[in-house]
Formats: sequence, structure tokens, C-alpha cells
Amino acid sequence: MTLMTHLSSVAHVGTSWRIHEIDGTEDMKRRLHAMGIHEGDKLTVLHALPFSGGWVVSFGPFAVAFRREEAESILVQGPLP
Amino acid sequence: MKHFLPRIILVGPPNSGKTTLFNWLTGLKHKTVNYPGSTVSLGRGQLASHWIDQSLDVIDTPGTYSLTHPVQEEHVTVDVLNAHLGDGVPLVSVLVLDSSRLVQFGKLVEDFATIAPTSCLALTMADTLDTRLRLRLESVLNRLVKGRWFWIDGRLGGGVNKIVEYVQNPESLRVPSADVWKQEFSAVSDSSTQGEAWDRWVFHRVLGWPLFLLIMGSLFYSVFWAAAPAMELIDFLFSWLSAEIQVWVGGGVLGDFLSRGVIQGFGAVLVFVPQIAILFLGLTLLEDSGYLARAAALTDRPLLKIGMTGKSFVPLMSGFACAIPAIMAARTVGGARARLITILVIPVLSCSARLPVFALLLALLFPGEPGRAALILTGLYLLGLVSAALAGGVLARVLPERGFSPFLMDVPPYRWPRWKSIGATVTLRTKSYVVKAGPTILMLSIALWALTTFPNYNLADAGQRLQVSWAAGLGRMMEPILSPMGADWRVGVGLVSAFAAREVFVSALAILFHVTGDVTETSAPLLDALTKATLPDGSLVFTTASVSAVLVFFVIALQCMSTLAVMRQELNSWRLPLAVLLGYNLVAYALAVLTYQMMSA
Repeated sequence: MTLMTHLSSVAHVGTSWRIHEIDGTEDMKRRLHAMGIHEGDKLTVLHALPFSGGWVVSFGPFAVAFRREEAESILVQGPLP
Repeated sequence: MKHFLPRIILVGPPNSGKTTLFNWLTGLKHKTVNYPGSTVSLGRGQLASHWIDQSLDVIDTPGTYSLTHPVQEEHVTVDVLNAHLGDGVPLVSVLVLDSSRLVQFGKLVEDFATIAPTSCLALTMADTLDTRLRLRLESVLNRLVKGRWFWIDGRLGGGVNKIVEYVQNPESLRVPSADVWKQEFSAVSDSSTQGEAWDRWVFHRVLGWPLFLLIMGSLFYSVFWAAAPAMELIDFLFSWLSAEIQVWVGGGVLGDFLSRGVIQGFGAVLVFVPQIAILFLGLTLLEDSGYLARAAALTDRPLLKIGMTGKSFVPLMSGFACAIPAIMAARTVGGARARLITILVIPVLSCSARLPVFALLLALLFPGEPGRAALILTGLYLLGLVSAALAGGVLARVLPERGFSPFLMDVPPYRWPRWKSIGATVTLRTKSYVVKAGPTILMLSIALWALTTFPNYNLADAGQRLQVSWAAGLGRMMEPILSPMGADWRVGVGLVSAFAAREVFVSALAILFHVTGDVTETSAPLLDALTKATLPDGSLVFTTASVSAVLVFFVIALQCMSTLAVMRQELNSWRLPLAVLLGYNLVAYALAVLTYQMMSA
């Protein structure tokens, strides 16, 4: 079954998702774009940060650490196989 | 003074290898400068003469992901670019990118080419690519930015000469749109999931934090332990030189000035060099290897609540060894506000110089009871920690958050450190301390010598001389202020003298209470003299209440001129360090009075 939800609610280690939309503030959208993260990109949750509620997420050739607040701005579709 | 106009500006995201290229271009002869009106440092140097016989300035900017919508700490890069683009001086901007992650930076490349048209791309980390990927990237780069890009070998300096040649005959950089860039590089990039085997342990739910504490604890301990022999040697050499100068020049005021004012002042500057060098060696190693970014991600959440970020953890922890290198280490903290709060909080953490003072006062409170003394000592360190957290909490509410500052941190791949670059960074930061903070420390040291020596220089006895010195006058003037915390003028002189270095409090009390010979904080004659010391009315100077009050004062107070000098250097202003001095010392005084009054009652 395909889900469409915010990354923060489905960020289980080892799962992969595709970004459907960045629906945070305009600043957040620009920031994610500046870091090379765009709608349509595939992501994989690599690690949960212990005691912090954040994650390390891979976007193929690079990985980024997120706080929960930032992950709430990313609407994802999946999980991908 | 000859002024060299800025010509080459290095721009790029964090961890792209900008500083390594900067080191190659400048031949390691450069300095860090604070950007006017901010706490952010820029590297500034001249193009090394072995490249071309022409004076060109090279500027290394802080890491940035966006030039069109910069967050707080990235504004400096945009400001520097705009300022130098508008001053009429020919300028070549070099965008430094990690070649293993080119797909990530299409927007930055597009914005860069728009803002800084005369520019080129320097691609680093090519040694981490396999040959096939490298050839595929070359093919795309030649199609998109032909003749405007260069491989840079960070280890051996290969390709740097090409940048220098290009700088002499620069051309306009035309790049495709961010979307085309991404499409082109996605097609040739390694699309496998980036993940590191070691990260399973680094971010492990149970073992991640113990591993982090072990690594950081080792760094912290090495600042303490590995620096100690070198610090002792420096201390010994300057004490020897000080004594020899007195013999060579004679016992007059000139000899005393040279030996106790100048030579001991130089000693006070140089004694911190081993700690600074070791701390920066460790920090740069962790940063270059990729671990520091992971440590920042681990510690971010708890520090966020008190206005700092994960990157503040290492400077804060170093503050337990010494505030001087710790304040300098705050340069690694991204975000001007978080860096400022980190710098302002560090002086409250109990540094190693407080230990001799604590040892003396605890020995007075608990003679022959080392167990209880150790327990209270732990409590004092905790009090310092709690005070720092409270100060951070207050500052986080007082200092406004300017603009959008998200926590999105690149987690770089693990890499072997580049020793030459690490050596250059350690040398640069150590030199920066000696050159910038040194003169202030020396000046304050000479001022303190004058205060504790004059106006009755001719008195032969050091104790008598100190008793009638300007410092003693100051102590007596302070007595009405000090008496509510149970301290007399002699303790006041000790507090003034401790501004040279906190541990001087011990030797100052020894002189004031006529204890001769080699004095340490726990030596029996000193403890005996202090225990029996009385006020004019016959009551004891050092009671449980008065000693506790002085202890509390020392936990909070900013009692160190070197810390003040380094804060001025890092914040590029006297205003904030003086405000912090006043603020912490007022709080320390209020708590000391409260302690004394409550315990006396």
C-alpha cells in the first residue's frame, strides 16, 4: 500500500521514500533546494539519532541529518521497494 | 604599510575543501580575520610567491549552501562577495565543490555564476572517485563548463597551478540551470545509497553516546594531560628567565619590571600554547575525518534548548580544561547566535585554573577529610555546569534569533585526515592566539605588576610591599563591598591578583599572610596561617561561611584577564566581554553574599 505522509511520521530506519512535496515554509523549501534536495528525489532513512528525535537520511551520493521539525516539512510517497 | 587588494575569493559549501585550497594558494602564510561587525572569521592571505611574482590577496569564506537565500551564518560570504565585486578591483571567485557530490549543488553553481561572473569551479576530493566515474564527470563538466573547471588534489596540490593561471586571464563562467545540472550529474553519479559502516556504531541507539563520550573524553583528557609537561616546561623556563633577569639587571625597579612584569607576562601568554595546539589538533582531526559533523548531530537536541547547537559541545567541554582554547574552538560553531552564546557561557565552566583555589579553600573547610572535600568539589563542578546552562537559557531568551536557521547538516563521508592541512590549521590558530590575544594579556600583566608593586617599591619585604600597594589600596577600598560576603581587604587583594590567573590567588594569600618558602595550595604552613588569621576585632578571617562564600564567588566570577583578552579577540569588541565581566561578577558577588549571610545566620 502506498502512503503519502510527512517524513517525520514514517522515518523508520531502512525505509525508502520519494519526496512528493516540500510543504514547509518558503525558507525551508529554498534551503532544502540549496542543499540539493528536491521534489521527486528518492531518500533512504539511514539512522535515527539517539535521544534527539532526528534522523540521518541518504539522498544517494550524500546524506543529511534532520531534526524532526525539518522532517515535518517533507511530504513523502512510498515506501519504495 | 603595504595594502594588498583582495583578488581571489574562495566560496563553497562546508566540507568542500576550501581551506585546503586556500592553504595551497597562500603557502600556509595567512591569518584569520573577523569580518567587520560580526563574530565570523575569514581566512586572508597572499598568493604565495612561488606561484607568481605578483601580490594578490586570497580570501577564504565560511561554508555556504546558498548565495541568494543565505541563512544567518552565510550572510558574511554574500557580503564579502558583494563588497569586493563593487569596489572596482578585478576579482576572480572560485567555487570549491566536492566532486563526489556535484549533483547536490546545481542551485549554488547557478547562483554563483550569476553573482560572480568572472569565476571558475575547483573540484576537490577527486581521489575518492573511481576512474570510470571520474571520466564520466569530466565528460559532463567539459560539456557544461568547458575550460572553467579544474581538479584539485588536496593532498599533493595538483591543479592549484591551473587555478593560478586561470586567475591571471579569467573568463566569464556560463553554467546551465540548476535543473539541467542536476539532470546531467544524476545520470552519471553513483546513485547507491550513501551510508557508512561505522555509522552503525556512531549512531547506535545504546552505544552511540558512550562512544561519543569516550572520543570527546579522550580529547578533553589529552588537553589536560598531554599539554601538562610542555606547560610545566614553559612555566619553568620563564620562572628561570625571570630569576636570571633579576640577577643580570639587578634588583632595581627595572629588573623587577622586566622579570615580574614583562617576562612573567610573556610566560602567561605562552603557557596556554600547548593546550591550544593540542585541542585544535584533536578538533581538526575529528573535523577532517567526518566525525565532528556526526557528534554535532548527536548533541544537537539538548543544547538547542539553551540557544546552542551540537557543534557547541566540544568548545563547552574544552572549557573544563581552559577557557582560552575553548573560546577559540567556538569558531567551529555554525550560526552567529549559537557561537556567541557558546563563547559567553564558557567562562562559567570550572576550568583547571580554578582547581588550586578550590583545593585550598576545601582544605580549609574540611581539614583531614579528603572524602568530603572531593564530594563538595564534584558539587562545585556541577554548580558551574548548572550555572552555564542557566546562563545559556537566559542568553537564548535575551539574544534574538535573527532570521531562519534550520538544522540541516551534511553528514560527510569518512576520510583520512590531510596532515599538511591539519598542521597548517593548528599553526594558524595557535599563532592567531599569540599575536592577537598575547599583547592584551601582556599589557594586563604589566598593569597588575604595577598595581601590586607601587607606590612603595623601596620596601624590601614582598609581603609589606604588597600590603601598601595600589592593589592593597584597592582591596581596602573594596572592603565595605567585600565584608557582606565575609572577606577582608587581604582576600580582596587576592581576588584582584587572581585576575592575572586564578591560581595566583593562592600565592597572593601566602604573601599577604607572611607564609614563606615553596607554597602549594595544600601546604601545611599556608593552611595553618590562614586558619589562624584574624580580623582587627579578633574574629577569624576564614570561617566556614566566609570560605564557602569565596568558593561560590570563584565558581561564577570571570576572574581571568586572558579569557577576557581572547573574548575580545573572538568577538572583535570590548563591549560584550566587559558586559560579561560585569554580569558574571555581579551574580557571583550576589550569590557569595547570600551564601555568607545564610550560613552566618
